[in-house]
Amino acid sequence: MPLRRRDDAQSAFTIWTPVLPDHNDQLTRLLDELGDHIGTSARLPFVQMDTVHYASFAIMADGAGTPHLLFEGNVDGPARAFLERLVDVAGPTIDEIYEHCRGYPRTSGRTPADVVAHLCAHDIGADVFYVAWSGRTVAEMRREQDLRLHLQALLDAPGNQHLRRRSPQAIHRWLVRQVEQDPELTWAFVPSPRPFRVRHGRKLVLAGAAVPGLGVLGLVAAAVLPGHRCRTWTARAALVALGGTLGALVWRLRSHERADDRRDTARAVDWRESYAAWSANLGDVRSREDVKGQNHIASVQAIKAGTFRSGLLRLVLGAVHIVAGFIFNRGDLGGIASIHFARWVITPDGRGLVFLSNFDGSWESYLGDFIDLSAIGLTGVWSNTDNVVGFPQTRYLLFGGARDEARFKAFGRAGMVATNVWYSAYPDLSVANIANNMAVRVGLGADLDPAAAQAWLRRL
Amino acid sequence: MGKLERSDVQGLVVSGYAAMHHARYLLLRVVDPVMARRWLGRLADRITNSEAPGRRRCTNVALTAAGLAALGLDEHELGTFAVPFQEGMTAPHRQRALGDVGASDPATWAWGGSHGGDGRCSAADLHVLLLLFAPDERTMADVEADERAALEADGGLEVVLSLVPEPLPGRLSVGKFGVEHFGFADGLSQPTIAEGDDGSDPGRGRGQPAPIAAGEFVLGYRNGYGRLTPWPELRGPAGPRPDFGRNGTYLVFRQLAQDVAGFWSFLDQATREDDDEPSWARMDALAAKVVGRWRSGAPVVRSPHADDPSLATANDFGYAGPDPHGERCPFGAHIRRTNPRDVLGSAGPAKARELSDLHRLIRRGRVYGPALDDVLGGDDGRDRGLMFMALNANIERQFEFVQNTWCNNPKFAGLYHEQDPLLGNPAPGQGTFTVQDRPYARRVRGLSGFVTVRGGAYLFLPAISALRHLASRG
Repeated sequence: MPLRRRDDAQSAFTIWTPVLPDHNDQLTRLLDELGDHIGTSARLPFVQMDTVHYASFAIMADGAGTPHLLFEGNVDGPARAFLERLVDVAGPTIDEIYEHCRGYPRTSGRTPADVVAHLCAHDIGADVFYVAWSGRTVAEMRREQDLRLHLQALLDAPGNQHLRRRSPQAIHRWLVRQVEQDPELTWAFVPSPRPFRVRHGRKLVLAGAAVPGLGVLGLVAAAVLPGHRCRTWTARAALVALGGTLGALVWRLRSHERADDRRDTARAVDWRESYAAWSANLGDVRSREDVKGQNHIASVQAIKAGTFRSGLLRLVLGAVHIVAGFIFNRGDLGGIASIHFARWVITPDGRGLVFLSNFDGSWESYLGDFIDLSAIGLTGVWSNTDNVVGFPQTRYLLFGGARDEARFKAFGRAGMVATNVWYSAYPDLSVANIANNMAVRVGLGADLDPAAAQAWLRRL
Repeated sequence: MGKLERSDVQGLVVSGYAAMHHARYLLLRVVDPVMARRWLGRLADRITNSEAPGRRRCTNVALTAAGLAALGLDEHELGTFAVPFQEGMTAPHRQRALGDVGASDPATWAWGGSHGGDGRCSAADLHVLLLLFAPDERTMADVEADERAALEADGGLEVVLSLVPEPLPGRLSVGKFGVEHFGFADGLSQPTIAEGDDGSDPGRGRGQPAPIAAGEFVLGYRNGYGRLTPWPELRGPAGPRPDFGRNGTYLVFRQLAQDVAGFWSFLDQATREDDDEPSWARMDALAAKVVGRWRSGAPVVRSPHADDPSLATANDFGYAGPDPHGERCPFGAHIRRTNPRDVLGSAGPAKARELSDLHRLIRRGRVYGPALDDVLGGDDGRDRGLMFMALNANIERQFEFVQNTWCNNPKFAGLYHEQDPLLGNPAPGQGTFTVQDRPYARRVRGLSGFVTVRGGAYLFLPAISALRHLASRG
């Protein structure tokens, strides 16, 4: 099988379309029906398309309260190619869904190309896109799972128990021979290319950060080292301007945060009561949770008013996007090893911050990970947003906030909507499982010393 | 927020009443709220607090959400209690998260489910749990007679169910520790409550793990995040009581039936070798891998090859140093799942311990039903198991998390497809348990669900002052 270049292997699309007035209930019913049978559905056959990792449909309101249909895709290769295929295999269902949305091409003379163009035109992408295993395709993940099961079956076979008495290297060699003799498994020895951003991402970020860093260092050097008086004073002035600007920004941030705190203290209704009243909406969300080992979050929070907050949020999202894409692209996001695909995206009206995540385990354990392992990152993003609960009090953008466990969990819940359709290509594989399977395959093709052979065997 | 107010906290929080060898758990239904409140007011004077628990008789009491409603709390007031308590253990999504499906489905429970045995013990009928303890059989009979007489005299409640745990010490007890029906010392790893203002605990025993913030187990004190877990507040027209929940906590109560014959028959089948004879040594060794401790309680991580009763109460161990690959204590072993100690995800040992400590439980269970004498001789048809009780301030982050994210989670510690080998509920004979080993892991097959849930409820264990307040309302 020819291997294509996959430097930008997975794509995220977020198709955001307004629902027609009075069509909300019909659309919800249709989506629920499709969602109930997503594992076997011929109407929406994600299960037969081996290029989609996760997909979902949910309905959420924009800043003006207008309900929008959100179609999330995490796919191998470009979004357009996937959507073309989807329209090809499920055109009637796509029509059925999007006829409840504004602006869908009219029935007469509608071509598949029109539909794809319409969907692409409404794709708002992702401001932050996190992929646990950058560059790993669905097909590869499934094959590697089969390979591991095959190797385990060989080891567990009653007739092969003599292997236990042999050295790890000998067992490794024996397994390699078994695989070599199987023409179906030749792919296992073909190295899987690692995407550019996985190989070089950390270096690139370091280099990128070095440029402004060196610039400042240079200014400091010019300001303090003996030299031409004009140069020294220009450098000093630049440093003062830089420091002043930063100081002014921090001061503005703090005054925004203090104003938020004052409003919070003056709340007419305590956040616990607001949450208790709101949580009547939670039934639809809870009824879909913990059905499989993986779960989905679809949520939208209101971005705090004013250009300062929206500007700051975009800045933070940009930084998180770089960190997520170039540094944390090997199975964990700052210590959280349970996220397969996640994104933040700002709605086109600029008023809502959508969060979508496909993760292992329960909501409670996921939110616990947020608080225990990445409170700073989550606070940096969500402290710029608001909902009926209100984000917990935050200092200097990053501190406090998510560490207020009870309120942060209530805040997280209060933005959620029910995911009507949710598809996972590998509901039985955790992020750690995928990593282990990958390492089994890589180790199979490698020449292992005794210690490495023992470490490899532990994976089986 | 300072020191734990022991005189206001019910004694069960600090003691399992080990000297009280006998116990009765009475489940009550409120018939007349006015009379029931009067009874509660008198009961408050008899409640054993945490100052000097364990004298002649001990009495504690807990309430369900249905019970609080029956006593007259309005919807708004009930809305200030923790959500799992309000919804109950049997809410469909909680049932799923807890793994109470199949044979453990609440629809089949003897009490606390949707139907509840003979129809009198459904979740809606269970209002009050009265916990009675006494040192000997005669005193126990007196205590129960006295309490039943008090219930009759005030007339506001009826006994719908009386649960009778086996007397302590169990037939097989090791020292002061009870032994549960599978044959293992139980209740060894109890968290110590950090009671002092500075979080230190002068009573910390040698070789015991560091104490846990009091707010993890009692409402009104700083929890593991240094915050106050929200507690129930009463603000209704019946008189505001914003600190109603202070010095109270939540009690998780479950009746867990154990299939002792099934467990040992599995161990026997899984350890047969060429001679096809049962081997107690091999069975014990596999059982120790399943539990993570030998029968005496000695942790397999400390004593990997044979039981060592001198380590029976050892609790100052971790896994990161001696056993990073699970080759001594398997990753999926019961005690490694229920408390992973210093190995959790990619966190370093210190951070992992800090994270594990956010999910601790105080356990106060007692065994019920007669011991099975011949564990390989088939089932005798008698009901036996554990009256499981756990105290925690945050049911979602503590009890439910341990049950869902650690015990039931097939992906725990990088595993693929197995649950806690003791508590899991695989289809009969279809479960797997991976024993990490050299040169490669052994997969033990043929596990069944050895533990079945027969009843359960989330309860609130109020402060003694809160009981008096409840009694004074209306």
